[in-house]
Amino acid sequence: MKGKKLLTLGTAAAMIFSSVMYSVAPASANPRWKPSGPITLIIPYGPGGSTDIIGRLLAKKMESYFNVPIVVENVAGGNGAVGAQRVFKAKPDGLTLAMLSGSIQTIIPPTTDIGFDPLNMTFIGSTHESVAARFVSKKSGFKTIQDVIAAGKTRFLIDVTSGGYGLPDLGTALLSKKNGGIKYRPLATSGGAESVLRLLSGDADMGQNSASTTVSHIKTGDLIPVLIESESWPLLEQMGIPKSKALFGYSISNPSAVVGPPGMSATIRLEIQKAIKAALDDPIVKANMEKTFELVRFKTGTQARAIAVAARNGYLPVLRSVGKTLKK
Amino acid sequence: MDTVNFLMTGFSTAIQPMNLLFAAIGCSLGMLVGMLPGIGPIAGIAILLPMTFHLDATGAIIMLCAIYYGAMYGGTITTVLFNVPGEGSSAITALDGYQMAKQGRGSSALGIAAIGSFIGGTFATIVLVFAAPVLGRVALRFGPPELFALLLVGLTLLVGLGSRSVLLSILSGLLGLAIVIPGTDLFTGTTRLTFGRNELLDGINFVPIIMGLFGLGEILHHAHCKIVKTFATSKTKSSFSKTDLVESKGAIARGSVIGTILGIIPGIGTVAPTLVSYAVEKRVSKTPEKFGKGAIQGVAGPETTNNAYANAAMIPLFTLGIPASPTLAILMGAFLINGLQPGAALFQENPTLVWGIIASLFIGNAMLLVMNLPLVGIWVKILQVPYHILFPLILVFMLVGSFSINRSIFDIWILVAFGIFGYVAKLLDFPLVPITLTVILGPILEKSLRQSLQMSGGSLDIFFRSPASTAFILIAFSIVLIPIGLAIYRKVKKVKKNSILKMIAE
Repeated sequence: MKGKKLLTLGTAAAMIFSSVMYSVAPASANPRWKPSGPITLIIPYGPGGSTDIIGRLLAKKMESYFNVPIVVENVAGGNGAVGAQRVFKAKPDGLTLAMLSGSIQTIIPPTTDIGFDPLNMTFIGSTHESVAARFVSKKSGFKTIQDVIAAGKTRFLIDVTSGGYGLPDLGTALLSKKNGGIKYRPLATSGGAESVLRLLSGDADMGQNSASTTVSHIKTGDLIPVLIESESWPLLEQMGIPKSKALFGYSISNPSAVVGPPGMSATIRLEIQKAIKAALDDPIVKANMEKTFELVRFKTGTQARAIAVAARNGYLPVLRSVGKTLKK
Repeated sequence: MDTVNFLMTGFSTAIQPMNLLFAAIGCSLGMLVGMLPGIGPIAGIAILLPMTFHLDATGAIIMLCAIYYGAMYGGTITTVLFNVPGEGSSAITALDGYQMAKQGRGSSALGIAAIGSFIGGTFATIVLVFAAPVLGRVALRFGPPELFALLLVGLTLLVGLGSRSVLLSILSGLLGLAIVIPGTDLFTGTTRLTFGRNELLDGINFVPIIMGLFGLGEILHHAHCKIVKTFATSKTKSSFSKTDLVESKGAIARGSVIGTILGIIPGIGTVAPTLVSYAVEKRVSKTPEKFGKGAIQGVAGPETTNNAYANAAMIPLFTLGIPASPTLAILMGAFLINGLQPGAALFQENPTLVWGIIASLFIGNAMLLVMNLPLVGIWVKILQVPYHILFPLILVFMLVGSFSINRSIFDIWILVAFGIFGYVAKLLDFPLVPITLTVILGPILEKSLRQSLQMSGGSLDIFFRSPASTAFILIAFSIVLIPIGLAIYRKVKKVKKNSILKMIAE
């Protein structure tokens, strides 16, 4: 009897001990899944942007987690569609991943026939969400969003956007809808840097932009933020810039997602998710990621997909009202 | 005086042994990636970007900048030796550089390119030092209407480039514009002629097009003609002569100015400045008929412009935080990772680092010259290799280069298709240079035209909104209309003279 009790206690102690050790030991010490070769992380955008930089920082950290090389490839095209499709068609063996930004998950599939739906991919995790705000140039004379709206009632405003129909266009459409209609003409550009250039030069009156290309101009006063259109932007909140959610009841969500091909096993997905979390738990990695001025925070794959689905469902009525959805 | 003091402080940072080492590594790597067709400085900087996470910020950025301008010279080597432009900006150099190599003057071409690159790069850096903030503001005045008007001038200068027939040049240019139609419309986001293929969503990449037209087309043509290719050996020298320098000095001076001025305009791309330089040299030359057949000014001008542009393009990056090209966009990423925000505040917030980088531009340009001049003799020795051994290597370079763009077989098919086209074009003496130039300039032209019309609500008045755009439009029309007018005038004069003579005879 005494022996049986000791055995039971010993077994229980061993179980508790191993559970504790498993949870506190570095995950890489005993991963449930190990990649059979190098992992390719596809960034479906050109190099140099915030998604690219964060992806490279993530890849570097994940290398030490899995002890295999993580090769970062830029496969740009179609606002992320080309690179995303490459991963969509790959084997779900955990060796081919992509880091997507918000547009390709939310706006592009309902508006452009890309041949697949990124929401059907395996969502593994999220590292960051991009901030967004509406800016006007110093030359425009506008000081507040109300100035912009008032001007838009009497004349056409030139609204700089990033090309195609993306989140900046959606933001303007929502702003217009919530304010009884604003006259504007979109001025497409090749990206955030050119958008800022058009604002600085006075060729455009307003535009939505993210942080990396605007912060230096906010400091000099050449660009004036008038409305925060993402859920938050700490720097601009400190400056007292109002939020679109509070004023007009809308916000633009631009979440990132690390995804794999459809049909990836739960074991593989969870292990890679752990690796992403481990990377973001590293204060140095997180600090480097935050230098891109994006909102760096970990989300699980399930949460990331839920955010993307909610965002797309929220945008669909607006896209339909401006005639941008594909005719089926 | 403050500027000079800052620059001296910058030199004291830049000449530290580790920073010199980083500059040397960057120049070497830059040349290597520039030589490899399809790889380019974008890939080089992107691959090395993670390394910079562990390096000191100054050293990291010095190295990445060195890769950027080193690649500009690297692209010249394959262009001159193999007629395969390693970089889009070297495409114009192929017109005369390759001809020079065939004539046994490859060393002159490479040597003058090295000297011109050094002078152009140094000139642009001096301008950066003393006039960056002012020029940065000037760049803001150059918007879509001005850019369209400038490119229109570039298109009119195409006429006569690479062919004796104006009509064929125009046809070739139009063909190039047609090639860039497939893709995604920037304004509406709808697809155009993509046939459901995602590979065409961003259009056809110009790198396999250029390699196909010039590189593969040439190989096929030689195989067809069964030419035993030997480059003229009797004139092959290991360096260039004083005559080459004297003949090139004007082109180098003009190239420095053209590259610097156009480098401060974001969005103009690397090809337009070299095209303008080549066209200017052809126009001012006393022997324009030599262009396309090995005129040294046809190499000196564009190559100087190339490097002047590369250095001057740092001006909008440093002063406005606007990267003028995709390569500089990655460089900007490197700035961000190192906690630096390019823009007006950069000079105030991080003067030591900024002036260190600027000083390293001078040092890097000098390094490129020192590294490349002795290598000229070695590079031209490659031309002594029998062609039947050389061309498979060139083919491998092109295939790897094409594939490496997007890791897609589709780009290899593009290379093959345009290779066949280039071969047939050579047989029929159809000009290829205008296609190349409109393939590269076409998207920028379309974008700037539509942006301008969008800004004006469809009115053409916008193209006359500034003295610059008005002047360019008038120049473009003059280039087209004046020769036509003169031809009509001469014809009328001749007819009148003939009729008078006839009357006298009767």
